[in-house]
Amino acid sequence: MGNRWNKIAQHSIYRKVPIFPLITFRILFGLLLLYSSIRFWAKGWIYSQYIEPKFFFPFIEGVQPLPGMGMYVVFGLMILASLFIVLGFYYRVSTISFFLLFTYVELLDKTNYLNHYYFVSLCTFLMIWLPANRYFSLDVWRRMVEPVKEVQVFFINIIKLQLGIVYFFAGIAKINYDWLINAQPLKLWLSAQVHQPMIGWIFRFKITAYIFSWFGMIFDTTVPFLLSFRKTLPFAYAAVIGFHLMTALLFPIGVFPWMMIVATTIFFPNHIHQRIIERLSLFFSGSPDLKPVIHRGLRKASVSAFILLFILQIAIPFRYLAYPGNLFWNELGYRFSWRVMLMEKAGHISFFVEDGEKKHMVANYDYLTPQQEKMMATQPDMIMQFARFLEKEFKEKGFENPRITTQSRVTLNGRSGKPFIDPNIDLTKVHHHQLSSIVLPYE
Amino acid sequence: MKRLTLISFTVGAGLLISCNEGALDKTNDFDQRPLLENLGNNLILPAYEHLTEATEALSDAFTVLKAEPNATTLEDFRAQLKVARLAWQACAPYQFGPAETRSLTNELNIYPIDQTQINQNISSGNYDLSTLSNLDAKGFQAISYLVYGDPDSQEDILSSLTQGRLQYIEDVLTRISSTSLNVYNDWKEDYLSEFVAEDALGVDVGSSVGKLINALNRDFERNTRDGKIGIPVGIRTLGEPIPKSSEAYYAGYSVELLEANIQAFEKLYFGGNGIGLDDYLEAVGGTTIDNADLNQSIISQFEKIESAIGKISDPLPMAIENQKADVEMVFIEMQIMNALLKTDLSSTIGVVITYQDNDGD
Repeated sequence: MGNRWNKIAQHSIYRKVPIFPLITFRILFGLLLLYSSIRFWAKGWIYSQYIEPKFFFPFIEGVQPLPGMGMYVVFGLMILASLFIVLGFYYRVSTISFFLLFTYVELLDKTNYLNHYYFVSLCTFLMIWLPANRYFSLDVWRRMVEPVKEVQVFFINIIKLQLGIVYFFAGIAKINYDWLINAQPLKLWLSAQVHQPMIGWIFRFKITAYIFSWFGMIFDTTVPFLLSFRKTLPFAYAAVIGFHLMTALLFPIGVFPWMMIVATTIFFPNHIHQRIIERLSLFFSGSPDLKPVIHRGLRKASVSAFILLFILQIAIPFRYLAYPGNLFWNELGYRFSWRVMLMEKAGHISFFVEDGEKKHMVANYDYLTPQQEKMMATQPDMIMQFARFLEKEFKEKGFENPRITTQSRVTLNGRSGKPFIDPNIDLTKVHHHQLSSIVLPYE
Repeated sequence: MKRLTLISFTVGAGLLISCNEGALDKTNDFDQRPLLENLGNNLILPAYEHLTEATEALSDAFTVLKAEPNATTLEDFRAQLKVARLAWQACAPYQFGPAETRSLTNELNIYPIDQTQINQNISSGNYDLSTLSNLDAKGFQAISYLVYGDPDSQEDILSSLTQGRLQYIEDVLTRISSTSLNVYNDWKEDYLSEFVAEDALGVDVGSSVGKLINALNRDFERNTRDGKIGIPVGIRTLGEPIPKSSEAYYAGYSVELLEANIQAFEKLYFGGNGIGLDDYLEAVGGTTIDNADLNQSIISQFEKIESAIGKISDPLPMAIENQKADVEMVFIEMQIMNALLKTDLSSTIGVVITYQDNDGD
């Protein structure tokens, strides 16, 4: 038994393999980080998401955007850090900086939460510990670190494992009644795509929504395994490209498809990575011919820490089981679980502030951007955050004992809209751990 | 692994067949282009054309009033002002594209206005109506204030029409008619073809249907529900009414304007006599789970709004004073409609309610 465990550990953790996959990963993923940071700036989102709003929905109370030009500085530093990651220049400092800055930005407002942002935070955290600057990097060229040719396979496997978790959980999240039996929300979403040139007509048929739903579920749950075997890899990678190009064409999901297409190249066999790096090296003459050293590798404690991180990631998507009710309806424990493009939800909520006889209806648009208002309308934790803000705001306006009630309507996956938050509940009397009590039952 | 795939496919195929709906049924047989062509050609363009004609006629009536201010010319001008304000109601749901770029709403229909600012402008004779500080010192409501007073008798108005006042009215009018004309020309020359073009189809943020639904929701919520009824009846001020924030406070026909506005929304929804959003909803009803009668819900909500409005009459401040509950009922019915349009309608058609481009997942 112990012997067998040792064998597994030897094979998947300590075995020495060529470093090249890590190098191409650093360059490709770094380029993607660079592109997405510049894109974010160019689209004017720094202003519309972090400067224009008057109110934010932070994940951690007190984490706020920087005033003035501060957010531009943050994104400027991110662009610089991602460029340095590509070049392997002050690699450790750059990855740490990028991870911290990016994660800080994502914690600022739940409105902007995207699963792929969570993925970027996790991936850049892992990159901090990878020896991805130990070959073909400015750090090596400047003799800040010594080059290595071989690293423990663990460094490559944690990236594979990370990607595998994303796909697999996205897949099992699709195993639900609406997705498989009603083909929802794809029926709604695909029917909105009938105007696409060339392929639009296929979205007119119900069967297309069913095929896409089932294919999506099977693809997501199996692709991590199919990518892992040499024999199935070409077929699996072709499916990765096809799947993500299709999602890029149909849905406004930004860089996520490209990110997955790029990141899954880590599954390619070493000789491909090696050839890429060797070709690239031709463009850079004069690199000092340093003698590679043996990479020290991981201590047992670090391996355990990584395993703990992955166990946590596997547990987090199941935390919804601790809440009563329907997960898609109340979204309690919904985020950080790779539930990607899984439901169509729209809502509307109005807040009423009362103080004795006095009654006031809040104009959400006075405080929130349309995007914030839309995201809040279907998510109870954001509704509570806004209610708390209103309580404070109206106390300052002279309300002594404001009561805050709501009127709401939410539609899920093409069902008629229904009241969402209990209209009789005074939100100022609700504690955060009682969130589930404010949501009306789904059925 | 292959075996797992095979099993999943078999199970999937089995479920598909056992589904009681026919898999080859169509979910969406709707073609957006005839909808956009109908709305563009038969509703939007004529609405802007009518607005342009009405504002030109208003300028003409002003020339007559200016040359010879008397009871008749004043009444003619007031009548023409009402025609123009009613014409605006038909354009209000379409504040996107040229209307948005040219800030049509800001030039025409900002209320309440700032009386002090207007009086200061007139007495100093030195003003620039394009500045932000003069945003609430222009438009139809500013002219109404100057030709109806607060309120004043006809004689008082006529004697108050000094050279400075007349000049101010003329300057405001020029902005109103030139902006209306520009928006109309933009639609006629370029935007109508952009509106129905191949690359404007679909439901994305930049698509015509996307812009239309978002503009409709925005105008209905902020201007119709809140501006026309909610704010005057005191929904934002602890139930304390603000008569002066009525749309036609000086002229006294706010309810009539509201009726015209609701009719414009209905016309948009039904597509006049052609293809409208009602046909769209019926055509994509098959994509929803149990929302197929959404069209019926919206139609009956329009009826409820109209019957609630039928219980009140002009002037609005009087109605608020004497039958506040009835006025509040109008607000409540519009609030229900607002939620229907913003959630069920948008979700069924697949339009993302947002006015900014962003990623989702």
